[in-house]
Amino acid sequence: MAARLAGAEKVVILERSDGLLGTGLVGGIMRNNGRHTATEEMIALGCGQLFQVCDSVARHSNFELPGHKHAALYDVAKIEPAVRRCLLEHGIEIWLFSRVTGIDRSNGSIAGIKLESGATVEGDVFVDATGTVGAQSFCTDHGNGCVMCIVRCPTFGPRVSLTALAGIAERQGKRKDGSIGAVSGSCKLNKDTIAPHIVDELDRTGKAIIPMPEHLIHTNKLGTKACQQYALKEYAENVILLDTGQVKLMTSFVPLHELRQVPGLEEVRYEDPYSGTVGNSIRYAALSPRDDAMQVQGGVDNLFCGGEKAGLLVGHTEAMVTGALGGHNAVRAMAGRETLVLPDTLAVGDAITNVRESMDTEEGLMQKYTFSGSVYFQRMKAKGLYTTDNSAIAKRVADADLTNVFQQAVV
Amino acid sequence: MITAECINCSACELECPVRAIEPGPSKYLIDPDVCIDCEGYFPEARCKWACPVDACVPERTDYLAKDGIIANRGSGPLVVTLDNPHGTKLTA
Repeated sequence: MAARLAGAEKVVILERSDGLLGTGLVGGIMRNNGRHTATEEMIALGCGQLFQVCDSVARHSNFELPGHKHAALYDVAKIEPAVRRCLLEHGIEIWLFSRVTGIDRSNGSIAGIKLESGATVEGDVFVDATGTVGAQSFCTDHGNGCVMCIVRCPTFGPRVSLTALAGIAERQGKRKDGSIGAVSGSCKLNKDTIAPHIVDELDRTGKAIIPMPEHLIHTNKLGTKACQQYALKEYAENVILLDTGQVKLMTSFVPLHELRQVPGLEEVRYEDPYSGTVGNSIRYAALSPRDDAMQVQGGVDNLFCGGEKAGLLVGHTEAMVTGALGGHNAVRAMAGRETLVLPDTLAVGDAITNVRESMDTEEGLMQKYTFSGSVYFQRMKAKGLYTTDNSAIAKRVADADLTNVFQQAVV
Repeated sequence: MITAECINCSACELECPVRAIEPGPSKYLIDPDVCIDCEGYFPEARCKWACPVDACVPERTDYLAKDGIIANRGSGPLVVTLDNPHGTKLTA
């Protein structure tokens, strides 16, 4: 999207599976805490289209859950067609069933990408948005095996990192015990298997909070999940459910036999991942070394990154921010223009720099960063970057002389 | 070759009579310079015989046939545009 807005003549999205978004198909929480600020900054910067798509398919807006204010929940069933439509309307080509398996090099650049089918796709610049989840062997080595998550490695083939194909060493996030990666925190329950009075409450208010039976409270599990913004004791002492079309379970990987001891969940079933009983996918183990313009460092001169590749940033908002900057700067680089670095007077700029710097330390590699909680939201508040005043956010972007910068063609 | 269906169980590696198979980054890999298609050892490729998920397909022709069975895997991109929202399948 950002690449098209910057004037790229042809933008092709190569997607491994039968549809876009990957883990975005099971996510849904937007605009909570500092994510609202980041969203409004991106809108003021001129790259708010995808955020507005999320708003347009929101089931619930401006509601609170423990530790999180003014959240919105998009409908996980409606988001993919809506995003697809938006991208197509901007003249972007989407190639499905197009798993990347190799690259062609030429004079220190990537000249083309090879697909599993044998086809080669040539290009001037490339954005690595291959994510960090899977393959199955990785979830086996560092987790509890393939839990049959939305990524669907067995059928569509595991992701292959463009950064790794270019021979660039990737970095790995760590858990507190020093083990590699992090366990994805998201779990979905099948709505039809939940007691009707809870479903009513979910449909009406967007959430349901049910006290966890005393003997099933495991606060020590909070530290293991990727989404540290929800590592609060309320999320261990209660079963917190959110209505994203399906039902998002905020307390991760509760074994089914325990979950069924919770009043109203006696007949519940996991919807994603199918083996939510034992855990979820392992991620954050294939991070691209990058600068603050999202250009991947080393090896090749025409590779940018976005999403989880860009660092230990969790969330759709965070992926949209880094992906937008990566796409925009890819076009600038192609045109021989100076790349854009967002200033630290904006939360989005400060986060990109802060996360890169933090990841240079052993301790920093054990954290996760998000506008919505944990260490980065604390920093946002300390620096006075968190606000819900949209006009103040627009002024902040105007003061940096960056209003609608993403809308300006650079070629 | 070994396809992405590989579940990293190591059965092929243990059965290979010439030690042509080793673990790779996401699946086991057959070294084509070492593999002799089990000629003189077994009537059919031993890895194919041992694999519990049919991921070992030593012959390229077998692999192409397998592509036909697993719909849309390795069989060419589906290109979707605004004018063509259901997409066109490319042959390669």
